[in-house]
Amino acid sequence: MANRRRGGGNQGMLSRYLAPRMWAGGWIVAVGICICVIFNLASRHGVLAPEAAGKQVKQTVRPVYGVASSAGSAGKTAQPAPAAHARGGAPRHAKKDELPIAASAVVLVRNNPTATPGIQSTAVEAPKTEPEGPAHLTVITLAEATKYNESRSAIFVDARSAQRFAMGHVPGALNVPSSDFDKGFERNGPRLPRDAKIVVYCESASCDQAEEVANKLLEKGYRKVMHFKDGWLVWEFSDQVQEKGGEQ
Amino acid sequence: MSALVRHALRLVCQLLLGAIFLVSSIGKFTYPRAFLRSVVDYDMTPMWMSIVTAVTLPGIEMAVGAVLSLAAVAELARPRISRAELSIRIGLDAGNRSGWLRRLDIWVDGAAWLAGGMLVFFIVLLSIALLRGMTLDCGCFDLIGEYIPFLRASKITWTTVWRDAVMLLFVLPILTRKS
Repeated sequence: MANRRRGGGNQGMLSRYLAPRMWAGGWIVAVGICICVIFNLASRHGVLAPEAAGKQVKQTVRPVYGVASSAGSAGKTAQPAPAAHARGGAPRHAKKDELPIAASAVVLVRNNPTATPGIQSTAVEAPKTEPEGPAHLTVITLAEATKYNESRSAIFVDARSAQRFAMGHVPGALNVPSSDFDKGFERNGPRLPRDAKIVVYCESASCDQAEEVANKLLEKGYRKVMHFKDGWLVWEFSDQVQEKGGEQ
Repeated sequence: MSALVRHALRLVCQLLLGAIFLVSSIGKFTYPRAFLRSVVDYDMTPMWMSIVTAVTLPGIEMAVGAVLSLAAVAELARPRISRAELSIRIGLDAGNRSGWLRRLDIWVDGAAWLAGGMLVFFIVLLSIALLRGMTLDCGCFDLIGEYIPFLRASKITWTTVWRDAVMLLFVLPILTRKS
């Protein structure tokens, strides 16, 4: 009887302790989910980035290396995709979602610390080349990478995994993952002429896959290898043309 | 350990843990797609679950961080309190916490349990990834972490696991409060 009463007492104490805390925890989770829903709705409807909401959707135009494309400069909108395709398949068009304004601001400040957030052209119009490491490995900025991509004067090599590559990449980029360089190079090597300008990138400035791949390319005899250090993250958030899907 | 030191330690842990969760959630909100990519890279859940996690986790982290840090601030911020009230708040008379302080404790406890649960989940996730020999971007604080040395971890290592374990220790003084 006494044992039963003691057990019941413990149970009561446990429920007295647990029940209100679980209730509070549940409310915290619910509020958290509401914050996410509001944030997503706000960014989707342009509340957080009104300037992005009014923009027309840019579409991917798959470049052909060495051939000037009708796409012209970045910033032109919705043109029909050309039949020509560097890797032989149909291009997939990527819709650029509206961005939270904070993201754009951080990207702009990262590109050009002196620029005022909101003035995108200032960040892009200040290219600066910093030679780094071996003689032919040059670090390039977003502005230069954009220029090379628009003019089709360089081949882009994505050093990230195939999974990340499929989620989005620079138009026309070839996937040579640093984790599986030999296989990637075997697959895409024939599309990389020795005298071509090659721009290698990975996820962001803090990743080192691009540098690894760039150094391996230099070892293989490529002389004009460039490192787009800011990488995919800055490319994506600075409203550049992008492409989705794996290699064809 | 005296009641005053224990109480001060609890408030410091509460503030720190709250601030860390807030900073972490802001990083994830600022770079949602980067965070989604990080979650997908762990390759431990189906795609739909990765998306649900990537969409909801920042909000839950923000709510937990807000409750922990705001409660600590609120506990000490009310001006002009009586000596008895002060001794209750600074822990000298913790047994007499009542009214709004007791209700606040329940919310703080709920948030602390959630924070502890999330940290255990992160530790397990990171450990499995490391034991599988994966080299991944942490996704813990995303680019916000690049500006704060302690939080900077572009790739997961065992240091990342230890860092989370240290944060888990912050939960203990909060949950072992006398009230």
